Amino acid sequence: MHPEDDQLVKRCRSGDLDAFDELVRRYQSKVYTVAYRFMGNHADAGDLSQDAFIRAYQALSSFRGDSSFATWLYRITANVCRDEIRKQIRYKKVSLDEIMVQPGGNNSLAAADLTPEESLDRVELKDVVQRHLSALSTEHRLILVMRDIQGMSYDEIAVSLDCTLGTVKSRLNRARQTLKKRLLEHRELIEDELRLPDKEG
Amino acid sequence: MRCHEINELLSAYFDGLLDPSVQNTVDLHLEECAACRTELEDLAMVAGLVRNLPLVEPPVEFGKELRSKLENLKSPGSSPGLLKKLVSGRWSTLVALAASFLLVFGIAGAWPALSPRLGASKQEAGVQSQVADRATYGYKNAPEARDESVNREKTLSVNNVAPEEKFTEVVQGDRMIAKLPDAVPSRPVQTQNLKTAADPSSTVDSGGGGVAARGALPGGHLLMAAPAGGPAERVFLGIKADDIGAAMRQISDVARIHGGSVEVSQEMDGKEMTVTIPDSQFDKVMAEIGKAGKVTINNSPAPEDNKMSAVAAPTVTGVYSKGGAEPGITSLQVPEADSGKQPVDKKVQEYSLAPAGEQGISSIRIRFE
Repeated sequence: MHPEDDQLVKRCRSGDLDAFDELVRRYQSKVYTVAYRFMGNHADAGDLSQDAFIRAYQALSSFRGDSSFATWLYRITANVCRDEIRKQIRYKKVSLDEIMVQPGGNNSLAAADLTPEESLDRVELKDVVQRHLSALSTEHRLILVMRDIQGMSYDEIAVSLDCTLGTVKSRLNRARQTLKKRLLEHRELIEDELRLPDKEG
Repeated sequence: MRCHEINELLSAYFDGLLDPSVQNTVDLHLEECAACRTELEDLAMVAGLVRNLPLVEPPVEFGKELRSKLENLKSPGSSPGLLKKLVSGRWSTLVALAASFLLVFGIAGAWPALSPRLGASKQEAGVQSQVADRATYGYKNAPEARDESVNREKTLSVNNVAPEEKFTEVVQGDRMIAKLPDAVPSRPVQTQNLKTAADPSSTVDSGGGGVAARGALPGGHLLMAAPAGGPAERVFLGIKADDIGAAMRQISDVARIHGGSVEVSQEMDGKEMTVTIPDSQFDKVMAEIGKAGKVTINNSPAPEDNKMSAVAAPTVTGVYSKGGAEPGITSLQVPEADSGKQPVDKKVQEYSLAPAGEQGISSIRIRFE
C-alpha cells in the first residue's frame, strides 16, 4: 500500500524532514487513534502520538526493515502509551474510573458515565464502546487495545507487558468478559447498529 | 469440562490460539451447550466492536506541531541514552548510596595513597570499576562464549590485556601499594568478596570494609587484575533461542528479581532487548541470561584466551596495608582457588562502590536469533 515507505525512511535518515512529514501524514491517523484508544482522551492522545513519532524519528537509524515501517511505528506507539499509563499509575494519577472498577462499585453506569437515555438516544455506539474501554482497569485496557486494535500477537503482548503467555490469555479473557458484561447493558443500541455480530478473527 | 472452565478458554478459542486438543474439547462442548455458544457469540461481538472502532483524526495542527518539535532535534538516531534516563530516575537512590560508600571507604582509604602517583580523576576511576566488574564475570562465568566474540563494541574492547601487563605490585615499608602505569587511571574502589583463594577457609567480614579485609590475605600476595580502559556502558549478547518470546520473558523475570528493568527495543523487529540492572547484580544476571538460550555473541568485557582464568590469587585493587593504622584495601576481588570452576554465588558478597554518575548500573543489550 505504501511502497515508498522505505524510500522515505532512507531520506529521513539523511535528515530530510520533509520525507518524515510524509510518513507522518500517512500514519498520523492510525497512531493517533491507537493513542486515543489507550488513553481515552485527546490531550494525552495528541501528546503521546507526537512522542511516538519523535521516538521513531530518533530511532530511524536503527530501523532495519525487518518489519514494515508501519508495524514498527505502531509498536513504538504502544510502548509509549504503555509507559505513560504506567507512569500515571506510579504517580497515583489514577482516574476515577479506575476506582469504580473495584468490587462493589456501580461499574456500568458510573464508569461509562452514561444515562440510559443518552445511550439510547444520542450517543453513538462507538462512543459507548470507547467509554467502557476507558473505564476498564489499566491492565485490561492495555491488553485489549494491543490485541483488538493493534492486532498484536499474544507473544508480542507478553513481551511488551512483561508477563507470561498464560497471563496474556487469562487477562485478555477477563478483559473481554468484563467489557462484554458492561456493553451488553447497551444491547439494544448494539443490535440497532450491528444487525449481526462481527465474528471474524 | 464444565461451562465455567470452557468460559475461561473462549477468548483464546476466539483468537484460534488454543492447542488442537483443547480446541477440540471446546468444539465438542459448544456443540452441546447453547449457553456457551451464546457466550462465544457475545465475546466475538465485543471483540468485533472494539476492532471496528473508527479511526480518530488528530487535530489539524498535529503535523505542524510535530515538525517544529523535530526541527529542534538533532539528526535521526540521536536518542537520549538509556543510562542517562535511568540514572536520573529510579536508580538515583542506588547511585547516591554507592557514592556514599565511595566517600567513606574509597577516599578515606586508598585514595590519598594512590592519587599522588596517578592523578586520576574520581570519575575515571569509577568507570574502571564498572569495566572490572564485567571482566570478573567474563572469566568466572562465560569462558565458553568468549571465543566466539564478534561485533565487539569499541567501549568494551579494553579488557583484552593480561592484568599482569597492566599492574604491578610494590612494597614500600609496611604498605603494599598497587602500582599502575601512568596512563592508567586508578580504580580505588570495587567489590569485596567473602572468600579468598589463598585461604579458602578464611572469610572476610564484609561489614568491616577494608579493615576486616586485611586479615583475609595471609600471604599478602596481591595481584592486580583490574582491566583498564574507557567507559563500558553496555554489554552486547547474542542469544539463540527456539522460543524467543519465552526467552525474553525468562530474562525479564531474571532482571526483575535482581532489581533491574527491561526494555524491548523497537529495532530488530522486537527481537532485541536491553536489560538494565544494578552493577552488583551483573554477574548473577549474566549467568541467568545464559540459561535462556545458546549464547552466540558475548561481547562482555573479558580477557581473551582465558588468561584471567589462570589467576588463582586474590585480586585486589587499591592499597593493601600490612598492619598499618589505616584501612588500606578498598577493593577486593577474589576468585575461587580452582579457577576452572565457577564460583558459587552464595559465597560472594559484593557491593559496588562506584561514584555517582552512571557507574552504578549495568546495561546489557541482547539480540535474539
